[in-house]
Formats: sequence, C-alpha cells, structure tokens
Amino acid sequence: MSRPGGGNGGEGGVNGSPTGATPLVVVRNLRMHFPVRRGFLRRQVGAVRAVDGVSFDIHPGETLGLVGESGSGKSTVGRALLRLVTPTAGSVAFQGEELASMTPEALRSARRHMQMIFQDPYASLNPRIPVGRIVREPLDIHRLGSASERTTRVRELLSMVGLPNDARRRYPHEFSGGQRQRVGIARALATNPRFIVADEPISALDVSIQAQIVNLLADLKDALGLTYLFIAHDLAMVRHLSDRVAVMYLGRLAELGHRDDVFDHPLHPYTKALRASIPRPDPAAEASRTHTSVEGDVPDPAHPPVGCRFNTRCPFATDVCRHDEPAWRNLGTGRVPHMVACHHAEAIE
Amino acid sequence: MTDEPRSPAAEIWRQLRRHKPAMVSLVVFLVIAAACLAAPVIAPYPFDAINLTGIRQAPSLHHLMGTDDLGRDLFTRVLYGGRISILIGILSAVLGTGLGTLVGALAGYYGGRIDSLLMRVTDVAYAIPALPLLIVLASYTQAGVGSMAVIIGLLSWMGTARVVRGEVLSLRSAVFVEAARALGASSGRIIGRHILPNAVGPIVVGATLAVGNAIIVESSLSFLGLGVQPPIPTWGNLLQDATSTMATNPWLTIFPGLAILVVVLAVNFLGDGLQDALDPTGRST
Amino acid sequence: MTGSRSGPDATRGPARPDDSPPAASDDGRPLLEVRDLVVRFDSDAGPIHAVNGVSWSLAPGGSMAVVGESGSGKTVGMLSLLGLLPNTGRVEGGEAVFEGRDLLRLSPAEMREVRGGKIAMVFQDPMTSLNPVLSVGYQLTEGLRRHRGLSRRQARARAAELLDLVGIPDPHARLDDYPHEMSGGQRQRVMIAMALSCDPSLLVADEPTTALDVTIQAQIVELVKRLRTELGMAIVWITHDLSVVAGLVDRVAVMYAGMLLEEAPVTALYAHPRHPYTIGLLRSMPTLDGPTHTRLPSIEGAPPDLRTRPTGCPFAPRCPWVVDPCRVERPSLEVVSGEHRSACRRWRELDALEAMEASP
Repeated sequence: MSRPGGGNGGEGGVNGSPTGATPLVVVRNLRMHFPVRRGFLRRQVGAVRAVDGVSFDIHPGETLGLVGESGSGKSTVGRALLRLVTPTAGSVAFQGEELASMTPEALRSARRHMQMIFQDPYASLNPRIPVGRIVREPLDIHRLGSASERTTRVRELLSMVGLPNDARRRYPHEFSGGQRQRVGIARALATNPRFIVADEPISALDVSIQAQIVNLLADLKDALGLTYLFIAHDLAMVRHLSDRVAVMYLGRLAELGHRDDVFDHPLHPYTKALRASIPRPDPAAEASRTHTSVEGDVPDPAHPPVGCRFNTRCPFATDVCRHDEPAWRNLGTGRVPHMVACHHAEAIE
Repeated sequence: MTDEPRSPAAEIWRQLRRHKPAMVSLVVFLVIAAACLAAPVIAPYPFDAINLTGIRQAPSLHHLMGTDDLGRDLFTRVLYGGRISILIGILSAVLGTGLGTLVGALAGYYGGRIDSLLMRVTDVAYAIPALPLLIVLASYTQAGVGSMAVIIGLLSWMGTARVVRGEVLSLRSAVFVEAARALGASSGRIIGRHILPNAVGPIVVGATLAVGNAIIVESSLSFLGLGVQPPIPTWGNLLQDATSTMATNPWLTIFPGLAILVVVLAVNFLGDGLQDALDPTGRST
Repeated sequence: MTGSRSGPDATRGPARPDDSPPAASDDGRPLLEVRDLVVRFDSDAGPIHAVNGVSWSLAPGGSMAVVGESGSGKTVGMLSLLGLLPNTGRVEGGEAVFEGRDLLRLSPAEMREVRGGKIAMVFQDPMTSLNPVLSVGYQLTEGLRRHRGLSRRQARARAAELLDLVGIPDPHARLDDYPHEMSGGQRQRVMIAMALSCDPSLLVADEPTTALDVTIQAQIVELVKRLRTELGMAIVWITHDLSVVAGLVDRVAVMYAGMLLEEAPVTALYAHPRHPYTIGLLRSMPTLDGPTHTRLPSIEGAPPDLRTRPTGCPFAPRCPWVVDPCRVERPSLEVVSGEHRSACRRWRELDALEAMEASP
C-alpha cells in the first residue's frame, strides 16, 4: 500500500457527504480481516481482507445503496456498522458516539436504535417461536412498555407490515417467504429504530414478491423517517430505492456518489462493467450486446492484487494501476460529491 | 390476553397427546411407577421373607413370577426393586443431562479458551476409570438412592456435553441467533431462548438413553457392593443375582429384565414423542 | 396440447420475419414435444399438484426459456422428463416425445443412455454437482470413456478440448485441478464442458447463473450463446429471471402454479405480453433507466397453495383484471398470433384494460 494510512478517504470532507447535514453514521478506515489458520496449532497463516479500509457517511433520512459482488465485503460492512462483528481497525460512530468505546451493556441498549433486516427469511426467524413472540422479543429485551402495551405494539407492527393479526400465534414455517420477510421487518421496527441495515432483503424472494417488499420498505421509510443502508447485488433495485450509491470491490470502495451520477455517469471501470453486465428484459438490446463486459474472476480476497484491486480485470489498467493504490478523490461537480478510486477516471470517462 | 399464543407447556402437551406410542408409553410407565410406589400395599409378601422350603419355584398363582434361591417372592421383589431403580434412573439422568447440557452449551457458545478448557475436562472425565473413582466415592458416602444418583449422574454427563457442544456450535452461527444479537439480546437469553430449544432433540435422546443406562450401572455398582445393599432389591441386583441360574431358572432373569426393558422402552418412546411435540415445524394446526 | 394447434405448419405465422427460427426442422418434426404433462408429489398433507397439464415443443436447434417462480413447476416438469424426480414425485399423465421416443416410457437403462448422451444438463450449483474429491479431468473423462468408449489418452485430449471450448485458459493444466481450486464461474464452465462431452442434441440448463455474480453471469450467458451457434444444439433454459434470457433464447414459456400461462417468441413476449401475470412481472422489475423512488407496480398476494388443485385460472386470486369465469373455468391456451399463445381469456382486452388503469 503506497498511501499512508491506506484505504479510501481517511480524512474528513472527502467521504462523499453532501455538505451541511450532520451524519447519522460515520465510518472511517474500517477494516475487517478474518484470520486464516492452518495446522495443528491453528497458527495464523494469513488473513482474508473482507473489508480493507472503507470510509463513508450515512445521513439522516437517506438510503445509501451498497452494491458489490460476492466477496466484495458489502455484507461485512453492514455487520460491522451494527457491530455484529468486531472490526480489526477503524471506527464506526452512530449518532456521534463511537461504538468501539461503548461498554457491552451500553452497546446492547444502543441496538434499539439500529436494526437489521436479513437476507434469508427462512434462516433469520427462530423456527420454535411463534411470530407474535418473535416480533415482541425486542420489546421484551429492551423492556419497552407494559405487557399490554407490548401486545398492542405487536398488533400495530403486524398491521404495519401487512400481516393479519392472527399471524401472532403461528410459527414461521407456516408462512411464505415474503410473509416471513415481513415478520423480519416488523421485528426490526419494533423498537422504533432510526437506522436499518437491510442486507439483501429481497434477493431470496420470488420475483413477484420482491416489488411488494421494496414498496413496503419505501413506505415505512417515508412513514417513520428511517435511514437505510440497503445492501444488494441487484443494481436496478438499488438504483430504484437509493439516494446515494456506493460500489464495493474486494474490500474497498470503488465509487460513491449520487445515484444518478453513479448510474448515468459512472467513473470507475468496475462500475461501468457492473452496469453493462446487468441483463435487461429487452431482447433487442440484449441481442446487440456483442461481447462480455468484463473478463476473468474476482481474485481471492486473501491475496488481493497490489495497487488497484481491479487491475487484473480492468481493460484500462496501466503500470501505475499495478503498483500504486488509487486515491479516493472527489470528481463531482454538483452539490453531492462523486467519489472514485481510479487513477484514470478522468481519461476514461 | 386471549389472542396470545397458547402457553408453550399447554401446546407441547396438546401435541404430545397426538403421539400414540408416547401416550401408551406414558400410561405404561405411570402404571409401573405407581405399582412400585404402592409396593408395601399391593405386594403379596414382605420383600425379605425367606422361605427355604419353596426355593426357585416356577411362576404360579401363588408366586406370579416364581421365587428366588432363598424362596423370596420375585413379584414382590420386582415391585420393591422398581422403586429404587426408577428413581435412580430418572434422578441421575436429569442430573447427568443437565450438567452435560450446561457444559456443552457454555463450551459451544463461548468457544475459544472456555471451549478448550471444558472439553479437556470432559476428556479427562471420560478417561478416569470409573471403578477406582467409585470405590473412593463410596468410601466417603453412604450408599443411598441420592448418593447413587449423584454418582451415576457425575459419571454420565460427558456424552451429552459433547453432543450439545456440537449442536450449539452450529446453532451459534445460525442467522436467527445473529438476529437476536442484533436485537440486543443477552447471552443468557440467546442460549436459553434461541439455541437450546433448537438443540432439544439430542438432549432428549441423551436423557432417555441415560435412564436405561443408569439402571444398568446401578446394578453393577450393587454387584460390587458399592450400591444399594441386599436384601433391599433393585432391578439391577435382581438381574445380577440371577446370572448364575439363567439356564435353569430363566424366570429369575426374564422378569427383572423385562421390567427394565419395558421402562427403558417407555422412556424412549416418551422421549421420541416429546421431541416431536417440541418441534413446531412438524405440527399440524 | 391444450390449445387448438393443429400442427407446426399451421402455427408458422406468415409475416413475422423478426421472429425466431421455426418450431420445427426441415422434416417438420420437433426435437422434443411435451403433451399434457401432469406431475404430482406425495406429502403428509396430501398430493401436491406440481405440474398440471403442460404442453410445449422445441425444434431441433431451437432455444426456449421456461420462466417461473419457485413452485411454478418449471424445474419439476423438466426433471420428470428426464426421470429425475425424487421418490415422492410421479408423472401422472402426458407424453414427451424426443426423437421419436416417449421419454416417460423409457426403461431406467434407456433413460440413463439418453441422459448425459442426447440430453445433457447443467444445474444451478456447480459446487454440489461436482464431486469434490475427484479432479476435474477425471470427472470429464469418465463420461467420455463410458459413453464414447475413448481410451484414457483420447479422453484426456478431448477433455482439454472441451475446457478450451468453454473458455477455460490453459486447459491441459487445469485438468488436474480439483473443483475447490476453481472459482464459481469456472466450475460452471466445467459443468457445461461435461454436458457438452457427448455432443447432446438438447442442453437443459436449470438456473445455471443464479448462484453466480452478475459479471460472471454475463460471461456464462455469452458462452452459451456462442456454443449454441457453434454446435447447433437445442437449449432449454430454466430461470426465474426474465431479463437473463431476453437475449439468449428464441421463445419463452411462462409457468405459474404448474401451468403454462403464456408462450411466445422472445420479442413478442417482452413487447406484447398477453397475460396479466407476464405483464405484472415485467412491470414490477425496476430498470436502469426508469423512474426512481416511485412505487413499483407489484403483483399483490402470493402464489397459490399447490395442495389444492386449482379450479379456474391459477392467477385469478392475484389478477387485477379478474372476472367471474376466471375463477371457475380453467382457461385454455389460445393462439394470439403465430406462435404466441396465452392462457388468459381476456387477452384481447388487455391493452384497453392497461390503458384504463393508466388514466384513472
């Protein structure tokens, strides 16, 4: 790593935030390395750099979309923001408070303000607990309200996510995937959180159900003034739902900016490749596509390429890309910064 | 709150009642247990009444299960024996399973050093030869039902601990457990509400096997003179006494053996039914 | 066939030059013709009606996508043709004529010979389809030696050729790799190479890109497109994603609750869907150039429970334009034009209904 402090945007001011507002979540130089151990003594022989120096802000009321392929580290970022994993380095501050410096007790009680919606609606609900108790559990944990108030609140939550009240007695396995995801959303909303990490909330659902859940998430955001980190690999859905979009590749941010900037004027070759890879429901457009947008596979995150991480697949890569890590710079002209980490962003745009 | 879910206990009982083998087993078990408990009332003879003129009699109307080599009525002795055997079986199974579950859950949930430490302790407990330990223990304690149950329980928790650890280890990374952590649930709540209820299958199986095992272990201890002492009968020592005459007087083996078999089977079926009843995914509504 | 098709010739529209190849080869016979296929599964709660009378045909060298959600019967229908149903499932009716033989009446030995010979398959998860303890080369040559009687040396040479064909660089060296040493995309390429090893006349691909990343998916789609033109085999691509197949196949069949709701040449299906379910699916997918932050036009409700045999149209409970007869009478596949068939009794009115909805 050639840059001191390595990683995207260590310094304030260049983290892709619209000017003015105080951020709800501030992430700086976040690193999450998972040790690779081998042999009888479980000696550490290396590390998978799932997240390797990532900085960004999330502003109150916005939806930040986070896209990337498997192995990009996008889910790990979401978990580190909620401190479901303990980052190797870097800081995450929520409402101005550094999560790492909180006592376990303080962290547990802070969790009522930040919640998560999971990808797999089958695995994320305890099969042995009826739905009413699942939705009620956060209220029990944080001792919110009296017993009857909690019951009323559960009823309210179920109707908010479009489930019948008699769902309370039934068990998760009695519901379809879409309904279970509604249960997961009701559970996440129970404590009136401000911030929600939605980790691929629709990718396990049937196509005809996805739009229902996306609409529900949008409605709830408007009604409750929520802030989302929306993690997904479906670019069209991310574009539909997000205000700003961050693109991750091999543990680093490649690009971050306003939705329209990132999708309509992508600066990073990876964003361009990703965008060009998306199939469209349009036979004419698809038939005219002549060659693959990007060759090769995502490298092993335990041995990421030196320099720019995309250089092994990038059609524009030069020597500098293979040696020096690109700086995280703002090339935006509008009010919202358009951040990119590419040596040649200006030249190839 | 009428629209609250049914209480878990009521729901489990409702489900258990649908499980025919379990219900039959429950009735059989309760009848045997009640008969043993009422032994002083319903037994036709005192348990230690020796009758040297009528030794090793085959079953008859006077002696439903025949008599042993001292002419004592076997039916009476089986009834009395059951009181101790069943009690020891259940007490030690509860103790052993409880201890094993605790150790396994802590090791599996916390992992790392705690796991290594607890699992080494388990290995050591496995490796200790039971007999010398028992002789030492027996010399410090009086051979009663309670101490027997404690001793057997302390000797039989390791299997459960290993199985539970494995289950907990895999459940610890279940998404719904992560979800509970994201909600701010404490470790105790996560273990008690989310992990153990999903590991109940192997725990129940372990417990039911432990009942039968304890009855057998008790008999070997009694044989060594470390268990409950003659003339007080237990199923174990009845069986033990009969080994030498198995070929000539088979009833002396058959009836105590049958008693153990029926109780162990009943407990196993009951465990089977309980396992199903505890699993809502198999429930019909 | 549930519709009124009298034969392949009658259905060839007179003037649709933009449409895909004809549904039949020179001698007019389809490669595979499925008629009234019915598949049920046994469960504790009674029979599950997985496929309820489905008919379609595929010309030699033709390509078709079967699109549907989970439970639509898209995969089960295909597996039943190849004798790969799990134990609880059984074919209850219909026929599937492949090169003159009914696949549903073949002996297990005959079926094994067809599978992996004339008909090859690629599945969703390349990791579980490959044996982790055998080298890729071994798994590739196994079939070549058994089905084609090649010697070890010949088989190895052919295997390297196949890897080269599916775009794996340095194929000779990669033969000795084990599946875990390859990436997901490469494993799927190996699966395709295995499928091609016996020169199949039909390749069945069941969600082959669903487990892959979008950039890798694009590569695999590109590969299959190229192989199809180079090798001239027919393709059935099973998927839940209408977008993936848009540039890949000639025809699309849309399945729902075990029934075929619409079948059309690919351009017609996307430009002029004639079934409310297809319309709903296409509208509910956000695009990269559409408006944002609007409500997505979603299909309300959930797919039906397959334990009850549907009476009427299976989509009726979720259909915005449902009328009473839809609920009681099962619609038949009507010819819209040429090869475009729809199982909606109101297909003629759909334009008007959509227009009415747009201007309240």
